[in-house]
Amino acid sequence: MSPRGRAAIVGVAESDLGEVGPGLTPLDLIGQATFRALDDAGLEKEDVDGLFSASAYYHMPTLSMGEYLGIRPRYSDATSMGGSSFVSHLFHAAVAIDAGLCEVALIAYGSTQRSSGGRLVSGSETLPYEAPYRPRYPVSMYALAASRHMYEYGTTREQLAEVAVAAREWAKLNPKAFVRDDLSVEDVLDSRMISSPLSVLDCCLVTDGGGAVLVTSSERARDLRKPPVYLLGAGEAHWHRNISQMPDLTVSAAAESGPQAYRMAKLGPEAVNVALLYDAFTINTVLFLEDLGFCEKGEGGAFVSGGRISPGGELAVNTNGGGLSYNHPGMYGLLLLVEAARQVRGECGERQVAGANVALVHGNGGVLSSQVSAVLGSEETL
Amino acid sequence: MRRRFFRCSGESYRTVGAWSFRGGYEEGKGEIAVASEDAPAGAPAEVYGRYLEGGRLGFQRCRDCSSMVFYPRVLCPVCGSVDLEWGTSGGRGVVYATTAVHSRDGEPYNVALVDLEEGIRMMSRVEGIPAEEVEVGRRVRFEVREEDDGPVAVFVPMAEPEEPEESEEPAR
Ligand SMILES: [Zn+2]
Repeated sequence: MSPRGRAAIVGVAESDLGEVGPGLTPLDLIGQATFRALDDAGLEKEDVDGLFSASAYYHMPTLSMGEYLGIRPRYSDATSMGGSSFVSHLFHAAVAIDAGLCEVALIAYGSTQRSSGGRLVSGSETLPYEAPYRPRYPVSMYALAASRHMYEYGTTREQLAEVAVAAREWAKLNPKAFVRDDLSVEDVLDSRMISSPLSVLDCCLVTDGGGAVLVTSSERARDLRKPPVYLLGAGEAHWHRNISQMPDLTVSAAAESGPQAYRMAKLGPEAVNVALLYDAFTINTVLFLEDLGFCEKGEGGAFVSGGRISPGGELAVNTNGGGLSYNHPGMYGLLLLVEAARQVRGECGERQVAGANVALVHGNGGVLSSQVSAVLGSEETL
Repeated sequence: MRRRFFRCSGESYRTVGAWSFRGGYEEGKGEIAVASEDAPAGAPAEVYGRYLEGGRLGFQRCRDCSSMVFYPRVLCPVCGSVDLEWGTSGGRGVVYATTAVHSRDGEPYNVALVDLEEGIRMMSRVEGIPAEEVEVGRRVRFEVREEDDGPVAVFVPMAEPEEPEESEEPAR
């Protein structure tokens, strides 16, 4: 039986974001977010019987989280596929709930990456066949993909910069965005080169932060505080772990996860009102718009140009400001879910997309490795 | 037939078609055992390392489905066969993707993905020209560099336009 519409997001929250200061631990942020999400849903901690998490800090994250929160789950899933994990957790939670394995699932994440030194805590091992060449993980891997996309399709640095500018325009409408200053294409081009063709403003922020998402059955969801945000479809795919093993650096496994999610949701990209695409780097947005069917392969650079994904543009993309300008606490996938649910509920204030009934969430993990897509919808999409 | 296996350039070693093979996997030995008398034996990573120590770029080919396999492993990721044989690359490749890694201290250095003529792709770096000048599509040739942790496969630009073909005959 298809999981379409069988489970719904009923509570979402961010922890403190940006720079939380010394002392707070990632688990403290999970605690904050969990408390706020329960309040958002009108649920009690005692209602939670399924735990989902991934972490670069905790080797057994659902155990650490269960202990800290005082929750003894009957179902636990620590699927670890980098930043995409949390979109995957939503999918897994919906299926587990539908199968009766748990009733209220808590997906949570926290990171103090910025306060604890600003270095990316990646927890990533290095392939011995790549290590001698000292690529900077993970930016060099995305830079390689960008170089290939530029070679094959004539994509330019200016077009990549347009992605960062659009994200910033959205961030200006989001009081919680970490960076809200003016940004121009020239600013991006002139910023410090990190791993060519990607400069520092082509890269996501390094912030603290976390979040929590509560999921339950559609039946139970209707009795709770906020309008349910239904999971209509989901798909996950991965074809490689290391960049040297990626079959074609211009095509991600989103080309498989996206269609899978659309099929389950019984709709296509033309029905999507808001797209939240994991923008760890500017090239991501270009690749995912192509792979998820918003434009043809190779046309992503043109698609993002001229303000077409900015506020008031043709497609609302990364309305929170994205990993580029809102927050990117090591892994960003959970915050995609938070924004998507709020858009579908119509809670986004200045940046609210009118009539946002269908949101596409797309998570990326590793080095363009894991791709997980989910389609969320309001009551009227069922 | 006696072949010369270890030459320092990694190039123009006796080739069969574009690549050369020898050795193989012996069932029941629990490790890669290369049949040829002077072929390296051992775990996949060790065999690769020993080829590199000999100045050559080793990789595997599946005897069942003919897929080229890199990085080295104990089974073919295409068909699942454990019948892999080792070969060495002629060393000619093309830059598939490239980046110059910048740091606050020191010159930018290149990181590239190189497609070898034999059909394998590997991460490496292109030396001999500034990191930012390495371009996708550039023809490059394998060389070995000795580094603190052992020998490393790198590439240098081949003369453009196309070089005359090297002799197929091994030095003997
Ligand atoms: Zn095979």
